[in-house]
Amino acid sequence: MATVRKFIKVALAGNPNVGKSVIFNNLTGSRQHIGNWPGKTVDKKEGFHRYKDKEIYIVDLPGTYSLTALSVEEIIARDYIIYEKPDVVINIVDASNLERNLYLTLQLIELGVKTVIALNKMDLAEKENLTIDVDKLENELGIPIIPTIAPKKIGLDKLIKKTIEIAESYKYSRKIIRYPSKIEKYIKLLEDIISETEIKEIYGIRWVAIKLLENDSDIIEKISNLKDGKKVLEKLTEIRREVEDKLGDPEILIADARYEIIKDIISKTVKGVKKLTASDLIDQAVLDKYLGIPIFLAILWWIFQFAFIGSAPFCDFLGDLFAYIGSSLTGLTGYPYIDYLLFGEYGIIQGLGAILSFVPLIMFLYFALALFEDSGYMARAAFVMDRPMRKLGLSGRTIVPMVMGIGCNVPAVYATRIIPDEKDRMVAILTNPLITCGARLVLFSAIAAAFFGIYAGDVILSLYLLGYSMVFIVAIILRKTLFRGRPSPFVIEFPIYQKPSLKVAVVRMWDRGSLFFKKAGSVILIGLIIIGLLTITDASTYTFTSNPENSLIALLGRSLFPIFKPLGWDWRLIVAAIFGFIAKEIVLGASAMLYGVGEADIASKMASMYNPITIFGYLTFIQLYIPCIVTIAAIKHETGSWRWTIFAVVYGIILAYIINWLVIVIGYGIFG
Amino acid sequence: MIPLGYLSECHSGIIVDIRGGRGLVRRLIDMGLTSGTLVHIIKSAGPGPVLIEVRGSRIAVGRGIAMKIFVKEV
Repeated sequence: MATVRKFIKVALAGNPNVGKSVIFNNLTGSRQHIGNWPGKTVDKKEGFHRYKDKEIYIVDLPGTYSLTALSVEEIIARDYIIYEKPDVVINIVDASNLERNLYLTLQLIELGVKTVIALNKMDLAEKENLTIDVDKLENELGIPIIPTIAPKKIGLDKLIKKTIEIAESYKYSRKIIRYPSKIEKYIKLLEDIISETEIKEIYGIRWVAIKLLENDSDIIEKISNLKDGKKVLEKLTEIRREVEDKLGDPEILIADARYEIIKDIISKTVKGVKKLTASDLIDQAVLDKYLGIPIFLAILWWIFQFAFIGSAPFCDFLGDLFAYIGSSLTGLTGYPYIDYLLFGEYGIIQGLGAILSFVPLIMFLYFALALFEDSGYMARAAFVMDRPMRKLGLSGRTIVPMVMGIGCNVPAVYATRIIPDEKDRMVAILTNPLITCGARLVLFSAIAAAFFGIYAGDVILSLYLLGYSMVFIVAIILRKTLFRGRPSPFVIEFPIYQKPSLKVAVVRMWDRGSLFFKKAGSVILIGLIIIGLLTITDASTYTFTSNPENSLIALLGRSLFPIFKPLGWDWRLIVAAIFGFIAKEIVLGASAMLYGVGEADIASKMASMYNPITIFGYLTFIQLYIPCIVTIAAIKHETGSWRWTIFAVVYGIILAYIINWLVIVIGYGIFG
Repeated sequence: MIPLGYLSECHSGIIVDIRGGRGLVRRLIDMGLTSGTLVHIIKSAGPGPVLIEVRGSRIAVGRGIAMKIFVKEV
């Protein structure tokens, strides 16, 4: 008799674009949590579903086409199934694309885990004139199949009931996928070797045998660490050599055999032929040689407008609200030191407000990006932009964060999640701060107008161009050194276009926004406290001072003076640049404070103190040096590494210094 | 036998050979591109990627990869 358990652990597995997120969201509702897989920058989504007295824990595995150890996603999915031992794996299969989808299903069956298939997108299959004999397919695969239409929640109840039933049954006879006898012979040979070792206690014997034949690097490595590992691997080399001589590459042989098995199953269970769909017609326009890029730019422009204009009132409101709270609470504690630190103009409350005001922007952006991704267009964008970007050593999708950066580097860094390859993504993250963001534009326009008069526009344009050319130069250098290799080969599936799910978009927006706040918040807070303390502590007495000119930060500025002297800076410019670390738009206000003038008069005051070459050099420095603290937090969050975060900061400063110095040398060489 | 990249739009071919590194071959196999498989070119314009139909799904491959997949035109 089956025992009744209250807690059931379920994993969702499937190819990308099969509707996994919709099923996950519909099952877990608001009871879900998004994070990262330990040590990886791949989303981990987990949630709960209650059914009668059962609590079902559901984890959404990354979408994969296979369970080889080729990509991070595949290793995550596979390791989870092997080591975390979910009670049941729900394999979500796209009914309209059965042939390719069953490739993963066969591997799940081989892995020996209890599996239930959710045969999703049944409506789409019907629309495409495909009839699937579900009972027969169930028979062929030896696992239960529940047809579903996820957005309409059709079949989900049955799916859960079946999952519970399977989880609680002891009798689970799994089907063995039989390969042609010429391959089976070698599988048997390997099975015999493995069954004499301790390996059999960790994995299924047959599965290991097949994986070894497939030359699976992950399993080979794990086995080589075991006691009998070496012996097994020696035998393996022999066997593989024999297979190669007689039959060909065993890896390809097994894959071919799997597809043959699938073809056979399909021929017995599916009737009808797919016709040309509306999706193909849209693609003819969207991928057009001439129209493709303009269409892409138009869509990007829409996302951009939506995110920045849509979020603006919320962002402003939050900024103003915190400014108001800060100023109205001033004097509350009675201790000027704490008071300034908490409520002052450069204090923690105001700083938090400035940073919180990024949250709506990030949320709006994620919402728009989710719609865009969910519709199926993202793959097309990568197609259209692949060639121009590849020339620069970047992959096609990098264009999205690169354009986003014009508004703000923070959401741009987060937008790099759409780049699947880890190296491509790192290059995109590390170069993004070099793109002129909106905050820098504010500063540039104010100063450029005072110094360069009618040429202000040209000066600003030159700074934008400087930023982008540095992105490309740094990207190419990174590609040749730290992230050696070419952009990952472009192979991407085109999902059929679909109406994006608002629910998925809202959930993703909320998850991302709150995650940013939680994760980035701590880094930002530390930065704010440090700068706050430096500003209000007197450099000689170490007591409170309201005059920044006597503060530690001024001391810091003065002590850094020798380094920046060749650039023609005085200590005020140095301190203003340090403030720019909080947010680049603060540079303006901070300078005003340092010169003892209002923000409106700052430009003319500076014009009387510095010459245009020095200031142009300074602007190039501000353009390129360390990203603001929120961007740093985002970089830390997305790279998951302090090392790379510090790298981004340090290389930025060095690059900025070199360019600034070149401007001074060349500038004075010509005009001086 | 010609590279997939030379096949023009609306034409079909059968994959004969994939000449590439292990990683690339494996990835293509996992997406259903094995020897003997029929592919149909949906979009192949200029120097950009190629969009093909294979095993009922649409897959785009970069031009470089398309030159490493050899097909027999049918």
